[in-house]
Amino acid sequence: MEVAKGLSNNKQRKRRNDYNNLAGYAFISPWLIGFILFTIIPIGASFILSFTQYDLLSSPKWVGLENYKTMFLHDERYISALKATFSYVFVAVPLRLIFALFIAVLLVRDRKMVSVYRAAFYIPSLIGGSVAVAVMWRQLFGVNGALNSILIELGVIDKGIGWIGNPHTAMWTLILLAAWQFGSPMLIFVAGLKQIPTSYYEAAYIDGANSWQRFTKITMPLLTPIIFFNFIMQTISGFMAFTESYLITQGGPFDRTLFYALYLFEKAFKFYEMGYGCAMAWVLLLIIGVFTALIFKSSNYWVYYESKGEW
Amino acid sequence: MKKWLYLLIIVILVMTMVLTACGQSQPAKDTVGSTTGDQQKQDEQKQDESKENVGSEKAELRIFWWGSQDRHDRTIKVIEMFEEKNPDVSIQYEFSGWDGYWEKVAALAAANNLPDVFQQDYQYLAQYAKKGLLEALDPYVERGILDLSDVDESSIVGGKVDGKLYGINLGSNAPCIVYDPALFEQAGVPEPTPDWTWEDYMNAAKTIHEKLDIYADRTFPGGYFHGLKHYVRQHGQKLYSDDGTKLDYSDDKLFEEFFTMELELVKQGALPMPDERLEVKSVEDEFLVTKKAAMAAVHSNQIVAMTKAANRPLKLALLPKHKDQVKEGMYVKPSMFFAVAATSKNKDKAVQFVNYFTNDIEANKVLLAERGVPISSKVREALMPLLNDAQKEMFNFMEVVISNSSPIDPPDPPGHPEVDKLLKNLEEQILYGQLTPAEAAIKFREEANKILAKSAQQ
Repeated sequence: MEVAKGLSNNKQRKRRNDYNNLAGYAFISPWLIGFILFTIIPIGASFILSFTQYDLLSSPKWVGLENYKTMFLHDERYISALKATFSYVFVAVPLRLIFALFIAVLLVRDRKMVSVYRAAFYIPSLIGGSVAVAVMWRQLFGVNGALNSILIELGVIDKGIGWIGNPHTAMWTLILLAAWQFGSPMLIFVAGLKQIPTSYYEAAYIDGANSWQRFTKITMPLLTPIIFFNFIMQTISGFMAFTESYLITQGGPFDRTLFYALYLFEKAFKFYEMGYGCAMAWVLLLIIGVFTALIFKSSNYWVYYESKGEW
Repeated sequence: MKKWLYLLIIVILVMTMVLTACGQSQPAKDTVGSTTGDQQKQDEQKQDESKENVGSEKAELRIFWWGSQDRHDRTIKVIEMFEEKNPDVSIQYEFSGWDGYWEKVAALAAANNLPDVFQQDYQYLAQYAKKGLLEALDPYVERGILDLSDVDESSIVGGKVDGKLYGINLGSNAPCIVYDPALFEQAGVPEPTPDWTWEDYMNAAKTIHEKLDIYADRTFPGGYFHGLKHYVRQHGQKLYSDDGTKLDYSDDKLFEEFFTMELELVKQGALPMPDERLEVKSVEDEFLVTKKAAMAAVHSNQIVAMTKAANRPLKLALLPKHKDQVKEGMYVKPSMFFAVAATSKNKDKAVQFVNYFTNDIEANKVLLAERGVPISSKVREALMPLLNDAQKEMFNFMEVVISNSSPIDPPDPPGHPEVDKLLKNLEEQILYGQLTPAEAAIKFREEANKILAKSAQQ
């Protein structure tokens, strides 16, 4: 549309362009209205509300930077939430990516039924955020759950452990769940692996490279853009994780698994501190922004783009 | 910039279309509420002639409550009965589970669109009343629209905030202990009397655990919150100050003593660790029901559901007394209220509905004390013959509570949900050995006062 506008010189053409634009806007108006009403306006409102104290029941009260100050200086649970979220992201995201890459490498070769396998591995991600998986996880890791039954049967332990309620293991059950849901990065890896020309491997093979060398010298460098993409997407979604801790551990025991998003929800909807919740959301945005920027910066050192022609 | 004008016009056009479409569906919905046909119209006409100023317009009420499917069915039935008796009123209702109810009510309050009548809870009543969102009901009692003549003062007082009546108690209950008399006998432990003390409880718990090799209880009596509140009350103090800006009790020893007792039982294996307590998600999983424990901390109305799940007789006991207690820790708790929104357009009708719910015998035969023991003595009498054993136990138990109780403390302050969460975290830290009860007591005071001071600013 911009280009068309630049070309138009006489009035008639301009009118026709306006008409075209109008039609365009008319067609996207359902989305546009939804976007303005339910995205742009709430985002703006949340920014303003983050400087207020607002309990939903009475009108917001301006408190300036008070919410932000409280967050970092006076709120122990906020610090717990940060700790829980960071340890989750730092462990779960790399684990998930490693799993995804590993399975992708296995599944990239053309075997019989390979698409069935791919679908099977993808299923956990499809149903990932769902209540059903959370319930199943609670059953698996409960005191009378499947895991304990197996361990008792094998004689590893003699009394059931409450994996979900125990402060030492609770986070690991959530991390395990995250690692298990490696489907979507796996599919992207598979696509990326297929892009690598087989001639490279053939050349390396002739030169006598073994399969590990071929993996580290050919596959990995050529896959870095894909790893980079997956890394960013998974980090972002890791910071926003909510369902797992809401449904499985409820943040417990004593806030060991209190994810940032869960605490935000509690503050806003359970304790009626909307202003504080909004402020937390903006800080989360900032945190994610900083991490994404850092990953982007670091990409200069480890991501290899063939098309740049640097080599 | 012309295109922005066009854009604006389109937006307005589409919005008006969408909005009018919504608006049109409104009247259609209203008629859904009234289910009776011609007969009702005739009744309405008669009413028009006899009563003043009703007009052909129906007074519209919106009612919102939380609860289980059983409660929904019973309540809807009563709403229909009320509509039949009052053809000039049409009622729209909405219900949900406890989860999500308060989020929704808060959103409605923010939109200035509260239902005319909605269920309130003790922990939110003060907050809503102080914000001026609820209608004070005293004038309606004076005018005779709301009849509380058969109601004991102790059942009314819980609905008062700053001396004014904002909530009508829909049923009384009390935090208490439900136990299995058969398991007590098996362990050779005498059944609790109304005078049993914390020492008796501790001994009973230890014996049951040793003799039967099961847990004595799933949590400590009253759970972390009601238990501590009870213990503090026994020493003549309150958990929260009257204005809700800080903790009231002055002695951290109370906190320390209470959780030291719990820690002792957990260490001995008579109570499960928190991770195992988590396993209980519904009445059916309750350790008492599955015979993994001999007691459970509940509110008295829950005995009905629990007996049904256990399929064997269960009984209720008071929370233990303290041997040197200054006053009774037990109190009659309003299980839930009906409150009328200050924004309601048909307040008289709304109060009339609340009155019907409270006093009408036929309506209460349908409700059948599902929300707790009814507050009207006439209704209680009328229901007695209809009750099953568990319900009778509940009714009789409430009589025991009334004679072994002191007046309820003022409603919980707005910061309560957060303080509750804090206390739960501290309890877990004590039981996992991260904090001693003494350390937790200091921390609780510090953090809770911070929360309360902050939420009181609103």
